[in-house]
Amino acid sequence: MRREPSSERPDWRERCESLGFGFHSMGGVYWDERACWRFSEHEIDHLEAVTEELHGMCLSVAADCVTRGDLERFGLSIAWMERVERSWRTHEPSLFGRFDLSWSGDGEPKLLEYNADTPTSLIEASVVQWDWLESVHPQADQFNSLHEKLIEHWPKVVGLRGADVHFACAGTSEEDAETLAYLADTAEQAGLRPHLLTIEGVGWNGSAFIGLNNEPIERLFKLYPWEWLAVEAFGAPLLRSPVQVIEPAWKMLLANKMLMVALWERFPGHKNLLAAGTMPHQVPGDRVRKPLLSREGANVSMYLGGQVFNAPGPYGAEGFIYQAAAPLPCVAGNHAVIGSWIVGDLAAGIGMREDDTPITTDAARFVPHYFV
Amino acid sequence: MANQRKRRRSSKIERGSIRGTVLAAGAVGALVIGGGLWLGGSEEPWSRDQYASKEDCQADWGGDSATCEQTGGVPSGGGSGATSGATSGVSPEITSGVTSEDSTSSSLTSSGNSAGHSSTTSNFSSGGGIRPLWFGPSYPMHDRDGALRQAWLGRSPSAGFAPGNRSIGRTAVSRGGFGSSSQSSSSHSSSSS
Repeated sequence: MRREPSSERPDWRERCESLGFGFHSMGGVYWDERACWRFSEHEIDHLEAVTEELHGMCLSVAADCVTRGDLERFGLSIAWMERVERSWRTHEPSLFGRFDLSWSGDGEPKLLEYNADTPTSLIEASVVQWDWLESVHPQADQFNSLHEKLIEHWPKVVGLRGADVHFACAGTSEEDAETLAYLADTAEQAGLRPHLLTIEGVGWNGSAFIGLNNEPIERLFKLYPWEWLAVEAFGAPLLRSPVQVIEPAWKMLLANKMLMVALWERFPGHKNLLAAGTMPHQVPGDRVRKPLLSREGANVSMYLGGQVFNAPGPYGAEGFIYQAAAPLPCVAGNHAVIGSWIVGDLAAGIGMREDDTPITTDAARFVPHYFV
Repeated sequence: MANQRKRRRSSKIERGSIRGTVLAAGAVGALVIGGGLWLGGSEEPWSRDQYASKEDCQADWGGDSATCEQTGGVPSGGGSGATSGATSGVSPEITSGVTSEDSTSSSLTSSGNSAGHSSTTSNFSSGGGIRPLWFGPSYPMHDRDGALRQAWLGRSPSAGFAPGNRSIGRTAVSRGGFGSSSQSSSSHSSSSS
């Protein structure tokens, strides 16, 4: 794999916006086609296999934790432990997730974390980089079947063709709203009936969650963290409500950085895992400290060769884990992380993000890829 | 092997009509999708009456079998008065014997952030055991009479029904119970990862 310079298409902004991707310039530069990543087919094969193996390992850990009642260290209250356990035991279906991997093409990809609950960079990975490929490298290929796999998988998640599904996200983020709209689009193309609203607009009528016309919400896709839902005013009725929530509650286990510790305990020395523990001495040498619930690199601290890198943020009160460092490949000051998608049980594509720092933050830029 | 797996699409991606951007519009917010506006909440508060029996509910609202909705199993029992819904961390309160004019609205308590909104829950507890609670239709809080008239349109009182006031409490249809964490997490515009 290698990073290559690339020429911007003169009309890339208009093309992005025509695809429903309006946040292409958030923070200055987000969609960045001045460069791209080139992979070999063999490398893509390997990423695909590793992603599906990691997915299986995560499910195994979730099963173990539920079976053994090992949920307390994820920071869950007793009531939410029960909710998670019920969610797992009743096989509530999952739509998708994104593994963040560190890999330069040599050795083995290493799992940094699993964005199992509210993964984004979706529309850019699924639709926008595909449009770029068709324009810039029409003879090449791309590891990207996200769009088709989402459409194929929705009916398995919902189980009823033509069913109503409410889609909600926070009403303050253009990124989330456009990602949500894209997901609703795939659901509609799968034969479902999406209804969009803000998470603030979800109502409670005393017996059921309701939509904007006071209609019952039977299925809720929420691009909003479970741990936030749990502590908010409607969290208590959510414990008992029969509403199907997507992603399901058991994903709270996999979205929590404690997963990295549980994975290492369950699969010690696995080639795609990094040593991880709850105490610094368990991970000697270069390491990273991560809050259990951090998102977008917030409050992550990296200790590399005596240097310390810190990312600011609001997390940390919930506790930390320590993980061996696996520095991202860096080309011309761009630290690149691979986001590898799983839809259902199948690897579905990758998206490359680059940051100016070794910690991938919400300032990272999305860079397209292709393979030959 | 790569050649046996589908990677490249066989046809062009077809985006549907759904597009999205967000407008911040106070605590509730609005989502603008495809040129249409989805408001995050209604300005006017809505309510539902709570009943101890389906018969009472149907007697008030006209007897349509679809009009009244039963909640899940709820604790109940001998005495009257307010008790807690216990395990979930919810503290519902409903006063037995109140009329629909005595609107009941208790706070949901949780261990963390709260939007500061209130609502009753479906638990009706007054001692021990389980007994169901029934809900009538939702209606604008300040127009119960109008909602009753609407429910009774076309029905004959000779059928044995008459609009009444048999409810044992009222619950607010509330919004804004989710979203407070996003409001308070100001350093990150997105709640996703």
